Amino acid sequence: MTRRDAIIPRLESLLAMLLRYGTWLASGLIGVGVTLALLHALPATDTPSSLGLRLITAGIVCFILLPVCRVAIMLVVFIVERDFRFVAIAAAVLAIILAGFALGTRSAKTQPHAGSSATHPAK
Amino acid sequence: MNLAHVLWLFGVAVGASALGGMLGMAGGIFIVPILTLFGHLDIRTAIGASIVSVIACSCGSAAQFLESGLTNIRLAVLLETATTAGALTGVLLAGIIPVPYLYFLFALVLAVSAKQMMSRRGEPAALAPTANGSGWSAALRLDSTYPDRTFGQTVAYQVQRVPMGMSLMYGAGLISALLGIGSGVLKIPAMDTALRLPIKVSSATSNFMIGVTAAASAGAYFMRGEIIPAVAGPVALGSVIGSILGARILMAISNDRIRLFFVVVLVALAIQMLLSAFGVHLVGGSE
Repeated sequence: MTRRDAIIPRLESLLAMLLRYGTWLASGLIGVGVTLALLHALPATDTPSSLGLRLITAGIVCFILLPVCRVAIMLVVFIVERDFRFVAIAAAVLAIILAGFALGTRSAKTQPHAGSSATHPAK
Repeated sequence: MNLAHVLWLFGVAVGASALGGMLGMAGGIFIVPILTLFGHLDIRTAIGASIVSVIACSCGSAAQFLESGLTNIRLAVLLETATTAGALTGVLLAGIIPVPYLYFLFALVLAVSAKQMMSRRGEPAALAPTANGSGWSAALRLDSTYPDRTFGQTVAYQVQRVPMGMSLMYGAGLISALLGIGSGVLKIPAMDTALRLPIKVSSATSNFMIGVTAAASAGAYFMRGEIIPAVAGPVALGSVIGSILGARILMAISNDRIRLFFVVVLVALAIQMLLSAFGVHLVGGSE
């Protein structure tokens, strides 16, 4: 009982930190990316062509991965707590999300254009 | 990508998310209709951009909610199994459902949201503790407490009718994925009538789940190549800024006025979407 009460507040502040900094990181990437893409669109500038769009894609991937990281952290905390019912529940959520990625990848193969930007958006 | 288009997308997202944020929702429900009706974007592109914006809004505000101690994390994880499963179903359906049906469904959800806004939400009754709680709630230790500022004390609550709540959440997840919205509005019935959570707890918990639910469908849409960075990027950025603004404005304007404005906008968009479902375009059809 006491152990659980000690862990939950820590989990809350850990998750809050992840979300806060993650949002800043993702927004920053997109902001810089949009700026670069716009500069490239101006005549008479020679910024690298695809860099802007790649940064934007990286920011979007960041946003999509944030909630996934959130569930992963919860999974670890439940393992530490030895709360095995919730380990199973959190693992199920992760599995469903990953199944979503797999589902998207499979249906992308039927459309040759789609999904090509999905691999390694930013170096 | 040109400046005018980026600024337009950015502006729409700021406005939609600020408006949504004032009532504690994501702005997706406004973003998709505005992008399709006024921006003449393909509805699937709009849905892809909107679902990223939903994650952005949720991540931005979830941190605050978590620190306030209102989020029931255990309940959120449990319900997420249902919402993400619903989201996957939605992704599968989205590939099959013809576009006019999407418009029709969207009009329906807008109308339901408008109705939900009109009826004032009271604190769910029957918080009176049932003997030992239901089997689910006890077995999974879902009951919790939250700090209530008005009374300055910690309030304990019980979670009721979990299976019914889970089924409603599955539906909310499905609609969220299909239409690219957070569907917080559709989670309210599940939270209020089935689980009987205190309002503050249900808003915080619902917000926490929206990000994870949207990530399940956004992941699939992204891999499928339906999320266009040039559109989704400015929209996501605008959403983060809009949701921060919305939370600020909330304190300045009276809640009733926002509510009325909200209902008017929702009804107007619902009519437009309904007309679009039947191929009638009133706005800028010639452009």
